[in-house]
Amino acid sequence: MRLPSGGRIDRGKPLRFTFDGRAYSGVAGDTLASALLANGVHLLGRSFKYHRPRGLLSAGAEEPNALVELDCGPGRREPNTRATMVPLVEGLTARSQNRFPSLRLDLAAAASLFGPLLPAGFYYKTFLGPGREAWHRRWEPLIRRMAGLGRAPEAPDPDRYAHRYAHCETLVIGAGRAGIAAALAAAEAGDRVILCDEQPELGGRRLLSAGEVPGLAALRANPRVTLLPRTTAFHYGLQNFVSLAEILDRPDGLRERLWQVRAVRVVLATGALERPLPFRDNDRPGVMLADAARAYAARWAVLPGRQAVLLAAHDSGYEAAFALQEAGARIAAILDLRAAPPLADTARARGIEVRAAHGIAATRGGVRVSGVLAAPLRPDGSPDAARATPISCDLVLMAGGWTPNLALFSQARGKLRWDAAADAFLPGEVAEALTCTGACATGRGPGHPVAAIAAGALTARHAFVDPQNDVTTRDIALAVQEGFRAIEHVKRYTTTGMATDQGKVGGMLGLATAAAASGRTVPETGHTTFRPPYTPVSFGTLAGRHRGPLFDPIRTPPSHEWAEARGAVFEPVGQWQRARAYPQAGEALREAVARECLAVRQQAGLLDASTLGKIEITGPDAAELLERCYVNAVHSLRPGRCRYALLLREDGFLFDDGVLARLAEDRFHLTTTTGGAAHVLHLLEDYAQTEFPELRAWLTSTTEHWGVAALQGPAAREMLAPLVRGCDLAALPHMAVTEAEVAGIPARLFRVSFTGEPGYEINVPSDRLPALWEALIDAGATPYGTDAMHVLRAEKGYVIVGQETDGTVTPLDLGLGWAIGKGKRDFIGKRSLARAEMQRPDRRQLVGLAPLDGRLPEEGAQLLATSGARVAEGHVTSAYASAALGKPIALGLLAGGRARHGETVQATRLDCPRQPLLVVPPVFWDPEGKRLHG
Amino acid sequence: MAQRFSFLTLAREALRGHAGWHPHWRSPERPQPAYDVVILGGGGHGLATAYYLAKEHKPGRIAVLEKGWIGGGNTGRNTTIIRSNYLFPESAALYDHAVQLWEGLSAELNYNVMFSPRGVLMLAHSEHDVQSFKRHVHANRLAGVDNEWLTPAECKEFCPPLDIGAHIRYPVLGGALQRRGGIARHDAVAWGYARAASALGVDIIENCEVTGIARDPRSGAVTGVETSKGHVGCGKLGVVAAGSTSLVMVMAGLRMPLESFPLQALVSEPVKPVFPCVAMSNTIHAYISQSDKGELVIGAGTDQYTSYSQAGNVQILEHTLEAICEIFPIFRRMRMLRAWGGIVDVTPDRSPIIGRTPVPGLYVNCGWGTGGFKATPGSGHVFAATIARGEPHPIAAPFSLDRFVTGRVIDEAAAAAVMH
Amino acid sequence: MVEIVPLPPLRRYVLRGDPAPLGALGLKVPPLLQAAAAGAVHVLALGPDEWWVMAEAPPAWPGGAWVTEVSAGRAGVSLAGPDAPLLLAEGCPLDLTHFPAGACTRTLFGKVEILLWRRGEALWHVETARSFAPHLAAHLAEARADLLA
Repeated sequence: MRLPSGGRIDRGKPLRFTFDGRAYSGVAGDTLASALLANGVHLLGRSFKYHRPRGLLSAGAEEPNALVELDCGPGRREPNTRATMVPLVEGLTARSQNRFPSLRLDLAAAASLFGPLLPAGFYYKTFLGPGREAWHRRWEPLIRRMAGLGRAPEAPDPDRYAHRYAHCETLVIGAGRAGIAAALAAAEAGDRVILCDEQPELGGRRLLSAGEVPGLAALRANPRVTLLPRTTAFHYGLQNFVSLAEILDRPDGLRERLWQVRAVRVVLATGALERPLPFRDNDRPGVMLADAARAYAARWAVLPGRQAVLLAAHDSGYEAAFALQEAGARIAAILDLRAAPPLADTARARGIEVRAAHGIAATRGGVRVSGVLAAPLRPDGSPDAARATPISCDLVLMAGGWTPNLALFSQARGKLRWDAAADAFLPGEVAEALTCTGACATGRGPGHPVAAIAAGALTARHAFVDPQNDVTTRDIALAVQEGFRAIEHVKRYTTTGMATDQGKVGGMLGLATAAAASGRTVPETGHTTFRPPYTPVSFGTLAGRHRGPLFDPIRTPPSHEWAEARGAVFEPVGQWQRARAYPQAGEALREAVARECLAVRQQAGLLDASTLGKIEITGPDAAELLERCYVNAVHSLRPGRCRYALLLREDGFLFDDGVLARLAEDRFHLTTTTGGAAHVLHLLEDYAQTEFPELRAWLTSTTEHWGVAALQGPAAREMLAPLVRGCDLAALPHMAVTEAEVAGIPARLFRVSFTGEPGYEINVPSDRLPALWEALIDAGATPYGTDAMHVLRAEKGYVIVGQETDGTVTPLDLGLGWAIGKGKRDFIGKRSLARAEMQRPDRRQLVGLAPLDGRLPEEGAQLLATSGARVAEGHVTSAYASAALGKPIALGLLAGGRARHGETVQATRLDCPRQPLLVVPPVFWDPEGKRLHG
Repeated sequence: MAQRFSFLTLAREALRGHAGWHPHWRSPERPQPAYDVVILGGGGHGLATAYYLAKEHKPGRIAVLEKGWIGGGNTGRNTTIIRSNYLFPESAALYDHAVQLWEGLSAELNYNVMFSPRGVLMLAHSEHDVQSFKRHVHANRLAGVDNEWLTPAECKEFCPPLDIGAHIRYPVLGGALQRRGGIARHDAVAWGYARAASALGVDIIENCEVTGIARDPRSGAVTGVETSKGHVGCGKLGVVAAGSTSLVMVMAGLRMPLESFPLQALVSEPVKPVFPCVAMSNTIHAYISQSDKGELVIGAGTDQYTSYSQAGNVQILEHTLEAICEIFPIFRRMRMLRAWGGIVDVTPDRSPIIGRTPVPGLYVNCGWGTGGFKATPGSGHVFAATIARGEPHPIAAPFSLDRFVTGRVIDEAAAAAVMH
Repeated sequence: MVEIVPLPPLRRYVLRGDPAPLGALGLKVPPLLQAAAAGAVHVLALGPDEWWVMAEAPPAWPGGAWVTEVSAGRAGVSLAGPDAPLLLAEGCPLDLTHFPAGACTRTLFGKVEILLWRRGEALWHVETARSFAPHLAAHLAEARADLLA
């Protein structure tokens, strides 16, 4: 019910909202929770397992019960949202969850009747039959439907999420009294300060009083201070790298911002969380934390009930009761667990009945509390129901004491130490530059010891410790009885502390209950680990702007625009988009590839090879560095010549291949595969800096500086010659490099071939490539893409790293032993090649495979000696329809393959059992290589 | 004998207020002075080893020594994925041996480990992925392991939240589906094996940290271990300590070819059933399933630096969720509820090490990297046989420690990692 | 306020090993992660043995210098305005308050490695490899739009 005055709300701004289809109104400054309470709505949800009615337990981020589905428009549905943390806005639409058909009448509440059959861990003991598949086929689907809380969104999220790195000398987490004081002190010392708080209004518990919060004005006025309300510090990373989620909810669609702060010092002022109390049916709507009720009255001018009973273990409950009394509620009684409550007389002087050493035997009511059974406590702390008297009330306040909020401290790998005087875990040693201040450092003073509270409730029924997951004191006692003594075991077996509040509400109580049940003290029992995030964080906030086009850079080679305009079909190669083929009008992809292959074999084709990595190695020791890393003899490579170069890993397997060209004594141009470019550069840099720092050799990536037009075909020289100045093309031998001007552009001109036809790779600055490309097209070259490139190289038996190799293949397996420099003292992988396994004759070796039935073999097919064999001897690495040969060809790796030419092997197929393939030498076109040197 | 679990006993106990349930496993406070076999490491693999030793080999007195609480390491931290669609026949044999044991495990242990063969779908986003997965399909079918190739439309039908549109950065080109793969309840596996092993007489000693390994001065054979609870003699010692293996083996004078990395995972808040299977993407680097509780369970690759800390950096969580939101865009407004890490021990070829060591009587089972949970029953079963017989079980034999010297490696990750 | 403008065409050269050739261009060797200039020619010390020279026209390198041209492989933007550091904070993890005019370094912006060079109080040069430039520009543009809204 809304109070006539007071509260930090703006009554002049009414807001309309709906909950479960009914229209209500609230005011600016309300949360959804306070607005619902103001409208007399107390039933807000159903619990996870038993579907018991649930109402508000708290007023803050620790809320375990009031989880609603927010509907903010298409693509903006959010399940499991805490009503206490939703600022009310005009038109807000919310629905309750986990109930059918309605919140009031939830059929699944019948589960409560089976309560005794459903204690913690019941599912491990049953669902074992009938038959082996019973769980998966019969029981699991039922359990899954009963489980879960909200509904996942069904449409993509249209909103945006920003990101900001920030640096400061002092990061203060928590803007209560202690946090504000720490921020002021740091600001005064000249620090850059960031002060964040999860609440929309800064001030912490100072907001329980009216008026301006002291200190905020000074902080606002200081340009070196950044105030971040509605911002939750949720992840404490190493070396004070703290992640914060700031909720913006901007109308233009900017929803949240992820701040990542590196702070010299962090101050935790995260306060303390009030503990609930365990008694029978303590989960009924209307039973809430005392301080929360106080907050509803003070901050939102809402009375959660008119007649309250306070169950107190701590003096703070009295403050809450007095405040509510002043706001107009009647405090029917204070039941204090303690024998000599310090504030009893003060309460009595206010006309409030106080019963010491009393507890609650049970609550009464249906979907809302209507009364309690007040009972004196037995010596063991349990309420004596036989001597209980009923007290009517519509609000039960629990003041169970306070637990310092040390989740972030624990995330920072701080150690908690039990302090008996405080009856709480307090911060101990920590390895980060972090201090704790305020209630999180000291607690709020002891009340009735939590160990005694837990001991007194061990035998109570339906005394909930984790209200969302329906875990009771009896469940915890049962877990201990069943041998789960480690606190993590208790947690995992009962699921206490694993709900969306992550144990903020019931953590201490659960721990104390486990301790009591196992006859240990609280510190002996230990505590579970606090894991990030502190409160749940949207996936979108962490994903940030990296979605859709910004998910990963799309890299395109210099001819891309031309290719797009020509209707090329593209494929992703790592982050690159490469043209697979350039189909002409009405041409299927297959046909385009065949045409392009024939054009290369018969005339001349043009491929954009710009994506391949290029590294320029300079320095007096450039040759020596390369000699040590690559398998090849490098010192003997003369300026102006190129070699096919192989790079192995230390274990001897092929890592990358390319062409190594020597431009001068102290300058090399090295190419790599497209996918290997960055890896090769890093590997060479690693060796240069850590293994060979004495060598004066330096690596510079030129991958993007050079655009590469590969012109290949018998007509290539004829086509290119008129465009070349400064070089006698006819005199340039195969595997040579020179500088020249091509189409008026200064170029590095390589005579190399990956197709088996005479060819050139013309390197020009990449911004000039489009002009060169057009010139060559005009000269009659046919553009061809990566699909044709694959076929052409396979016809020659040239391997592709990553296709013929899979990280388990050596150069000798591929018949590339000739590339290894003779008598080389060392190179990366040399020692490994000498291992026994690497020398075996039955290793899988590169072979050609010719289908005997004219069908294209399947890539990846396993090769068998006979149809009935079950052990593969190799596999098909590449298979293509060869236009030049007019039949399908394939390459593969086959055990001892070089000695098996002429043999027929059987290949597996997905569409029929087997396909016979003839093992042949791995070269189909121009085996003697005559065309290359033409 | 353990109490029998069944609906009937559950109902009977319900009437008695559940007063009759016994501890699931005996947890003696202190170990005996000596055992015939000591297993170091009370995770899923170690407990499974002890169980199979006791059940099938009966080598005498067996103890499992666990430094903390059982199942507290990677067994309690993984993303619960089970599959056997590995490329090389040695791996397929090992993991499929495990899957076959998974299929009967709840019945065997009389403990519902909630094994759910809902299908594991590996998504292909490039021609290289397609080639790699098709090769797996061929190899798996030959080895008798189920694996089938699906078109993008078939992938979407199997996994409705998947976005197969051409507009996403790395569109789905198809997928390889192992229907027999799925998930299980990880904690239950540890508890189930512990209960069954304990019932067969195995001592499970928790809070018992090993501080040294004692060896005979002449033969060099293992004679016992020093622990925080005293000296424990043993005839044979099996080390199953996952990310801590390097630290333990050093006590026996052995330097292992292992590097330990943090591996993180996360869950979302629980929602009603929305994700029917397990989906994995190597290219985009994330995998996802939904637990029976309703939480989306999401994992990715390791952090990039070595560490024994079980903690990683927040950037991994960012990258993983970017990937998840890209292929399952409806989840962008879901919330991360909890994130954690484990320590994974990685070998040079990313395949495990199971078998003897140069130290007589010392056996090791480690190096499972990011893929140990799925192998739990198979790993325990073959390791038990290896310890009992003193020589490797045929399925374990290829995973010998000396393969890094001979070069006979089994590199499952290589095919996936290399790109052209 | 911050404007994003594409960088004008520049010639870029990576000098390795011996900085002596810089003298021939009239350039002093700057301290590590600092820039220096001689007229329209700038040199950025990006590593202990790595200097990037940027100029509008090709400088006259002396013979024997271990220089590699990388001009065509680079592209980027200028950020002009007092809010440039705030825009950069969207994706760059450095503390830019300790990044005075003349400072330069390799760093990251989001997913892309960048060369960051503060040319003036409110003028920043941000470049990357050519094929990453469109992504960088799009990321900056989206961030800028939300910053200014």
